[in-house]
Amino acid sequence: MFRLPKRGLVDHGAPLSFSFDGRRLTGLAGDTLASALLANGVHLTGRSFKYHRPRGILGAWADEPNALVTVIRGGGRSTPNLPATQVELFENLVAFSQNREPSLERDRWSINDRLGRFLPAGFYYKTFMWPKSFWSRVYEPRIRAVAGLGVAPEQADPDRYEHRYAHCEVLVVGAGPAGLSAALTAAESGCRVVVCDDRPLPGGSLLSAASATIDGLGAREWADTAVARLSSMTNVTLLPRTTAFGYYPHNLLGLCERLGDHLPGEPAGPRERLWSVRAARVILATGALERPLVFPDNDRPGIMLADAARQYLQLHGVAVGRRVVIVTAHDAGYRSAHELHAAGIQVVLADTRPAAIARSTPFRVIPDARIEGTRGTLRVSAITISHTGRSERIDCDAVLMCGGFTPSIHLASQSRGTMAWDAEVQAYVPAGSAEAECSIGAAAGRLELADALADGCRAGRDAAAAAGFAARRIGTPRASVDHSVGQGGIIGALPHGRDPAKVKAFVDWQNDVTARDIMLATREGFRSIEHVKRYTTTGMATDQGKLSNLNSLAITAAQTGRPVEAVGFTTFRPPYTPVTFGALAGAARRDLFDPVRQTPIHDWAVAQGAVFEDVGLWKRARYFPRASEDMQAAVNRECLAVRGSAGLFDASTLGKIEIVGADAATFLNRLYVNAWDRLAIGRCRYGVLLREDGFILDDGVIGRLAADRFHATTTTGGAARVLATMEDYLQTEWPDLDVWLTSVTEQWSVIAVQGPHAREILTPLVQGLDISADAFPHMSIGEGTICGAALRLMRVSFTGELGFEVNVPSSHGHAVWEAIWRIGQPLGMTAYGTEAMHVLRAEKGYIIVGQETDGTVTADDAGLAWAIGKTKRDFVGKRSLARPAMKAPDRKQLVGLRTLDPAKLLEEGAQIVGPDGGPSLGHVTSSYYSANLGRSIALALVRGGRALEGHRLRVAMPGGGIEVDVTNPVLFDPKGKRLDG
Amino acid sequence: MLLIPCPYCGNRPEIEFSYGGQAHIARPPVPEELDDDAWGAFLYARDNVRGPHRERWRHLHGCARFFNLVRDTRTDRIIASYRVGTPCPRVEPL
Amino acid sequence: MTSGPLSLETLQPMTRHILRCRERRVAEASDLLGLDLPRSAYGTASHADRHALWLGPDEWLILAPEPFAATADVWAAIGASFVEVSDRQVALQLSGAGADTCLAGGCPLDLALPAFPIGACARTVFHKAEIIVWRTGSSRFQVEIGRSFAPYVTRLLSQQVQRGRSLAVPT
Repeated sequence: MFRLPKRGLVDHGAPLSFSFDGRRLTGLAGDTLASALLANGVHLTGRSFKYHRPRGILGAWADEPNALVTVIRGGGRSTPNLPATQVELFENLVAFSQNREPSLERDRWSINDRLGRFLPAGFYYKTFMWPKSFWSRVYEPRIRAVAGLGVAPEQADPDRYEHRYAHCEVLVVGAGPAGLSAALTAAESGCRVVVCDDRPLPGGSLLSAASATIDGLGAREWADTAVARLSSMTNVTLLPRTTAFGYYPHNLLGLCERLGDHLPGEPAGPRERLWSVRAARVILATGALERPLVFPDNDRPGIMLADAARQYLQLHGVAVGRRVVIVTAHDAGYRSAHELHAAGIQVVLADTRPAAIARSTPFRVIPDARIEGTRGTLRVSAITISHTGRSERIDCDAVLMCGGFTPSIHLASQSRGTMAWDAEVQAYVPAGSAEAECSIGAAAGRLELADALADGCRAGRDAAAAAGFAARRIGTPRASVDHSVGQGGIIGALPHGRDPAKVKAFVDWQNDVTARDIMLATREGFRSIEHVKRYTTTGMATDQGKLSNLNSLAITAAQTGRPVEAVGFTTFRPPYTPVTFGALAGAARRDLFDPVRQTPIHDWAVAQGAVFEDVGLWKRARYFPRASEDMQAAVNRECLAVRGSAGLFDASTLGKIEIVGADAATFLNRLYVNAWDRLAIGRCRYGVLLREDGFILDDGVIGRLAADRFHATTTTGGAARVLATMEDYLQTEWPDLDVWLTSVTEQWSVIAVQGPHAREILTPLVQGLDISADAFPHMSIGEGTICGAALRLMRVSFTGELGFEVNVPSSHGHAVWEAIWRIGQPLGMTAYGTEAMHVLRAEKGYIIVGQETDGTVTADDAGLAWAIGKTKRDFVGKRSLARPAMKAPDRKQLVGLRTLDPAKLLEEGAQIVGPDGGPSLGHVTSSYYSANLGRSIALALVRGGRALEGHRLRVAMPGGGIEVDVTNPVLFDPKGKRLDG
Repeated sequence: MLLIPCPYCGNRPEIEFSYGGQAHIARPPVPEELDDDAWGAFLYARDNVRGPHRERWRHLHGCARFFNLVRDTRTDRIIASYRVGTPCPRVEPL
Repeated sequence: MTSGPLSLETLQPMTRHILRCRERRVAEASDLLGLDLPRSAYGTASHADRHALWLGPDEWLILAPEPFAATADVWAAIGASFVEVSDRQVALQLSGAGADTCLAGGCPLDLALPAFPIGACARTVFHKAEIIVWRTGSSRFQVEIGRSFAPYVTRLLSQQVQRGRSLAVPT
């Protein structure tokens, strides 16, 4: 066992049982899966992406590229690709390794490692070239099966997720020494502060700072005090387990708070909460990540980052090995060595720097060390180091690397801040801000504790002041440390004496990219780091190059003979670490994905067994099947009833706009193709609205209620668009017009009563309005009451029958519907749905915007030229109608199609060609079986179609064409006599 | 998500707004006087600005007013916000 | 100040109108309504049971328990539009400790008291629905929703309220 008693922040008295690849193991409360595995001596946790090399735990948190696991929870919960270093242990956690078959220890694809020289960077571009069709059918699926990550879950995610908007003056990302002191200082000013940290406990590096003191307190104790103080302040929101993953424009940050994954069992509340935080100022205290070293065979299990090993010791009381060799290019390696040595671990330190300072250390130091390679298959067993002219093999069970520290500039880079090369830190550090933000502490390349604390106090004070809050002056905490972080570091590949062609020195562990791959890319002519990245895939994958970016940059620079800063670097994009789809979706799932809009008559339709269809966000009754009727049977019955007796139709979803003002008629004149000024009060007109480019935008009936008041209807889907178009012209083009628009779509329920008995049914119900044929002819509008409710009655028809549209306030819609239903039923009235409505209107050749039109159809194309006010000099879209293409005789025009076989139904969308084939002449826009006509009917847009009336064409279908005759689109009651019934 | 300064409501989140394309393209008062090319340009020709762009927005789910923004297309920085009918404030060139 | 447990209720039907007019007519419109129409964003005005909520520089939502006497002609005379929308929308009342947090689950506005004080109102969004949110108390909001969007908003708010209640620590 590798657990050290009494050490770390774990609870030594609270053992937790868990399983890894089916093996039962024991950890402690406070462990991560990685620390618990290490405590059990398990380093081997994965197989690499391409070569299937055995891989171990490399880091201690979000930088982990190797130890990706799938965690299985009850109820179909399965999360792949989680770094074991970030999975918090709980009782009975079940985890599996990935990308191996049948087991980690014996993986059949490990043969890829020996084929490595055939699988260099971009091998798939070069190898799988022939035959071309094999790429998508054979090569890609096979490569994906072998090179891979975890398996996506197969069941729907049973967990809940939620979103939260938040606003603050100061957002602090990271609760280490810099972040905590910034938050404390800012919060004392009284402004709203949000502090987030992605680890389970706030404190950052303070939690593992064994030998540091701040203001006389131990570092951990100081952090605890700071956290307690922040928690007690009502103006502070402290969010642990919360990753700031995205920096979006104008200081909006995306945060993902993990609420359930660290707990056993099903979460009581949401699993995760996605925060959208808008902050006046942002302080980035995101710390720095230790860099690995690029030397031969640097990827065996047991080889890991030195500071990660130090954290496992100080946070979890875990020794990553008993005999470790620390390879360092930075002074910080000595700190790790001291702390490990003090815990009883045997340490040898190999310093790659020529002038390794001769320190008085209690452990052996090898200066000017050159790493020639390592041994061990499933676990490192030895390292070969050459120094002072000789080669020495040192047996060990862990090798720790320290190449220096890379500031975590991800969020600063996402915010489009500029970066500058810091030669001392050997990394890019934030240099200029695009947003109201600043980076402090290690994130700014200032690695020492005292600097972080001082940065935090200053930044907290400045941010509060910038947001208009005067900060109380609190002194900068005084830090003292036994071992400073120090200086040094290296980037790029370390020199070695072995044959470069036979050596694998990994730069990017997760994507199996070696130094040789990057050199190959530069030899093949890639110079831009963006291209090198894409060709070699270095810096991609779930860890997004947290460890590899600078080393690949330095190798590219060296190979192309440029300084590193001349190569530039790849801009970071969100997310910093992967975010679940669940968190992004939030509550927007299943029946809450979109609002489901229902009319006041919806429940009645449900009770009648209606089948519904989606029209935009609306649910509309499509047909009302009786007993064993299928859709066609129900629609046939409904269509016959409307023309034979009467039908009742819920048209409440129609858009309605009340247009009021002295200039209302002028406004409609300018907007619609029709002439409106001479429309009498109490009369309606069918209006066509074009876009400025001349194509149909929408249509609808508009009635004049008073000289200065119109009731306009729009299509269901066009309601918002028409209102927006009207407001646009009123506000921006004709602000001088006295016209006001109010959406009344939801104010009025609309009940269409259509058919020969329609008047007879309505007459006993309508009061205060004479609806006799003479007093209320076709295209009338009037006001009265019905069943005690306000009534706006329109005599209009979308069926070709005598028809009325009863508008009543929505709260009365259901009651009025029932009242009409009671009177109409004995007369043979039926309720009909949208499908019958479609058939009935198609029989009459009435278009539906969006079905007969597609944004390239003019009023004339649709056979609506009669609606255009001939004497109008201008209306929206008129000028476009005079463009040559709009007047061409071969434009597609609306026609009817008659199949030779009356039982044959065309397919909507089918292409129409000449009798002997040839190019497409148009397409079928509507096609139904018409019970009233006893045959199939169809509408179509056909090139020069009106001139082809009487001609025969073919509708192209798989397996042969269907012969059709072109007809007038009006197929039923062409003289329109029934409207006047 | 941008934070957009509505000239009527102050700073509001982008999801309340709808975008309306390039600003200051007035509908010709007498369209029939334009030849086909000029009318085509009015319909379809728009600038593709790299830098400060004058554009229309509508505070759709707010005060419902159209207004104009000058937004730097490279950075999303909003340089000016002004009401319809008022002149565009001077913006320093690129 | 105590704010009571979280609760969500549907308010009784009321008379609603949309008033639209030019700025120079605001004084006359105010006289007709018997209250001073608010003239800037977030503004509301109340007189007795009658409330005017600023929606835009030329648009107000007028709420009253009973129908109005003034006819269309009266409004036309001052060049204003006064359209009844009583049934266009429904109102929810959300109250109790954490009411603002419930709204913050889907409303992007800053609802902290200094930014959105008692009496403030705004047309905005809640998830994918448009709403009008009106703060009627330190932790009480009236939410006006388009009629057909009400079930959607109500369900989402109820989830938040239930969750907020289960989190509430008895004091």
